[in-house]
Amino acid sequence: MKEKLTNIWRKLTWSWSPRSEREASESVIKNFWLHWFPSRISLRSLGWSYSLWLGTIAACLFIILAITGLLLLYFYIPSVRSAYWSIKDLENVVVFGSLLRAQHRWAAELMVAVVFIHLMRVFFTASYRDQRVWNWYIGIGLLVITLFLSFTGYILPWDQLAYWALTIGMSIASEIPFLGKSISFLLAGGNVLGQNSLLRFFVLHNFFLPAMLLFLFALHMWRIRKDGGLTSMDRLIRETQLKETPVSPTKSYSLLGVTEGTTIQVTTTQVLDERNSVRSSPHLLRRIAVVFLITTIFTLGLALLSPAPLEEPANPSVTPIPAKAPWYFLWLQELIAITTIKIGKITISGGLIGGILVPGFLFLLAILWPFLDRSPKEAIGVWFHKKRRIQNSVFILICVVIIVLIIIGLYLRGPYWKFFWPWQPWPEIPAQF
Amino acid sequence: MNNKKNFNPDKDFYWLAFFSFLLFVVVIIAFYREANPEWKKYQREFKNYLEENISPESASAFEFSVKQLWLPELNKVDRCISCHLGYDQPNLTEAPEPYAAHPDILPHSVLKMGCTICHGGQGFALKKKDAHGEVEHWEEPMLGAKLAKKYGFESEKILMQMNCNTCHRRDEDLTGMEMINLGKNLLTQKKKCQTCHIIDGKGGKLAADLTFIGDKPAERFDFSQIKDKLIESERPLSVLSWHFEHFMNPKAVVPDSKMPYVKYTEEEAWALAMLMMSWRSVSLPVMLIPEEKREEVPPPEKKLEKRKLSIVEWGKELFESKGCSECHTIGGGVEVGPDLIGITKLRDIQWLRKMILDPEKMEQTDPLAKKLYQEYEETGMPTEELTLQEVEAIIKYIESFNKESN
Amino acid sequence: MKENERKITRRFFFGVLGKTSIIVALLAEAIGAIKAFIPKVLYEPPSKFKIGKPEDIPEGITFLPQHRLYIFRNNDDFHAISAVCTHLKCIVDWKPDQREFYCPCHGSIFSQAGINLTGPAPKPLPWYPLSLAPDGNLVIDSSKQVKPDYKYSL
Repeated sequence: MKEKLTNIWRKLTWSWSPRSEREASESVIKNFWLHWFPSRISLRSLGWSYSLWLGTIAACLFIILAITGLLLLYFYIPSVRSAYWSIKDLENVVVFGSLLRAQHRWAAELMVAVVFIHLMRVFFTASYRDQRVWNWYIGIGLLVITLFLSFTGYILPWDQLAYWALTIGMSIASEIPFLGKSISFLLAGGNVLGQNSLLRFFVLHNFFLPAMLLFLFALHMWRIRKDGGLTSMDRLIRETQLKETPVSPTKSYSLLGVTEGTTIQVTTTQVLDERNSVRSSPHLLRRIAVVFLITTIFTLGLALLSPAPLEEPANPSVTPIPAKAPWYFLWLQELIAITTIKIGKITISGGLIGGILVPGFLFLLAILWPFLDRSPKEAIGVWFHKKRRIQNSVFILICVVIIVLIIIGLYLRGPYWKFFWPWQPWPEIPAQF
Repeated sequence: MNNKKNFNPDKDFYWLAFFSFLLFVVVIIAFYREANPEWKKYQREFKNYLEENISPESASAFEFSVKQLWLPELNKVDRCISCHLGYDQPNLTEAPEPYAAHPDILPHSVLKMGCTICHGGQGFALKKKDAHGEVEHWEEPMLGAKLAKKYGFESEKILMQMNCNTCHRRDEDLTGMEMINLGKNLLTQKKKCQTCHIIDGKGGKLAADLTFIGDKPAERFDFSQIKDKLIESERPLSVLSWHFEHFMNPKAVVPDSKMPYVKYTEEEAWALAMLMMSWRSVSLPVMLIPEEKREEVPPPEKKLEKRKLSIVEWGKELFESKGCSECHTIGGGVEVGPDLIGITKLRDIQWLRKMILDPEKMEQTDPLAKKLYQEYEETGMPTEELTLQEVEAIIKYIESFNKESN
Repeated sequence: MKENERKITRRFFFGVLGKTSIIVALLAEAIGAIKAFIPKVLYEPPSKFKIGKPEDIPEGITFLPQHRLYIFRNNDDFHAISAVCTHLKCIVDWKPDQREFYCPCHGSIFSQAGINLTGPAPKPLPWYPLSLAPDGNLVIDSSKQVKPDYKYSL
């Protein structure tokens, strides 16, 4: 009997813990979940210090968000009359409700940060060059969707924080030239923010944006394989000094038999050997499991230590003093507040400059940079290569400015957006009783 | 890093085991927290109390659970009773707080009304601080001892009267509502606020509508004049304090206020302030209105007793009830408007009649009225609804002072 | 005469009819789906609304929260200024001391007439025209704007 059970167990799980080289290589072909992994992975790519596993952390955070979000979906009511109170119920009476909500909130904030740091890593290692430009674009798409997922989720509690963050966000959207008013009318479902807006944001947050994210994520993974893995591979290939193999248009070189010629996918297989690589199954899987565990523990720990915030119920006739956007948009709000230009009688709205033009410019820069980058091929796959000093410095400068603006917006702006040094107390705000 | 010898697959295995164990620990902590909420501690204590002081049977009959009063008609759910467990057990009147029985509040019923409708607080919360409303972002703190202390009141029940009056607005002289009663008396008998303020749909338009002034959010009040004073005297920076300061000295709070200064005692000012805070819009479900009152919506007019009055006495009554005495004295000096002593001799009697009947129109058209308007800082005399006989009575009343001074 | 082999057979005709129909139908469905998202009926206060009888408006400045505007009354002269900041749509507060409107979001300050003085607000607060309805109520038309010297006299 025991043998039978063991056999069944073996049949179901052999690909996750292969017992031979053959089983290991077959596992990535025969297991659906493993099909996106290469058969072998270089030790450099596997190492913690090259990529810092940031992409994996972001993906793990998304899974945590999806699971906690799905559970929260059973308790949240997307109606302006009930949304706030359903969240109060989650906080007070639902078993593990407060924890669920807090973990969801923390994972969301972390995901925005991690996705951005991942972008930084990709930039510093020039991993957006040549064939990887498409993956760079997909990544930017993922960043934008992550930001919108976070923003749409922020709105759902329909408290003062949510309502006024939405007001500010919508005002920025309406500053887009030509299409702005129509976009904000469609997003808000009307001229004022109300039930229509909540419902549209709810559907966006729970269906459309996650669907788009998953689709782009799949594409992102596919591109990694097509591009020959992480750029640490590119460096490995350069250092290995391959002998030129004759090109044969009909011969296939990879396990799956779908590539021909001497593309990167082919070269990879020639470079990897016993000394510098290991089988993906089980080693890559193990590390992914470790990363997933660490992410879960971290978000759960944060959730246990600090519950998610909730302010007063939304009140359209009272603006809180001060009204702030979520931290990842605070740099925009700060820019908007300081970029209203008055030239004589003409005033150019800060909403246009700080809210549309500056981020639009940065976006354009990100799109064009893979083509404007002039660093040599030796810089690809290397952290802070000396030939990339200038562009790395400019990039760091932009990041620092954004972080400083966020810090100012968070801690140094008080009522009426006046500037307060950290040691200056904010004026007390009167209450009812 | 690129040397197979340096890569140790076992290391990963041990990391995996370690973090799995860590996750296990964190999950245990989460479960422990969830299984030991604050209220359970109180319920355990209560059970012990029952065991020792009442009977073992009552103790064993007690079940640990969240207890709540769900009132869908009021759109409320009050979970105060998860800790305040003896509320409906009359044999627990001597029990220590929070387990003591609720005092008799007939004809009110805790079961039908819940707790927060009178006490305030965050009824649906299950942690003490949250439930008592002592947290940020909740505008209705429990109106109990802690809050009363902040204002320097000794009685812990005094602030609750504000919530009483939110429903009992139309009633007078109710037991247990001494401050509110005082405020209402001041309102109707001594001073006529409706001369300038609209209250309950009637009144002048010279100042804010006070019908639901208790609903006005704190952000809409101007604290700039009194902020420093309140912070220095360590009084709460609140709308209630604002009203108190405003009643004590209107011009100190609103510099260009036309509200006449009345010397109130501190108690009177607090009574009026509490009255203001109690004027909130509330939709009461019919089931909470007692039978006798259900036909009386809107409240009945006060039945005027038919008395035989002389024209001067009638004029006196009108002079006060129509609000003239708010701004004018007769022989007592200038208040908001001119002293009316001898006015019947000073002015043309036809002019006086027109002035009393429709002063607002006169201020637009009549040159003398316009001049007076300018002289008295553009305050303006509001037009009241008067019959011609009432105008005569008022004139006769004012005239009666001439004979006295002679 | 056509030398083309392809004659307009029945098969050809029906093929074209079928393909065109289905393309047009699918396109129409897609457009219909998009149109559903553009609301035509809104649960919002209308742009022209009544604010009560002139006698009931107090003297001075009154804030109407449900319409988000400030009503000014000077005896029989009325004017209405929107309370929505022209920067990012927060509600401005009237400070009677300084006789100015303050926006709590980014510190924009407007004069008593709604002119933007400092802060990021790009435009002055809009003034709305008033009129009198036949039933005696004052009507404000928030879809129109008037100059800052406008006043409505009874």
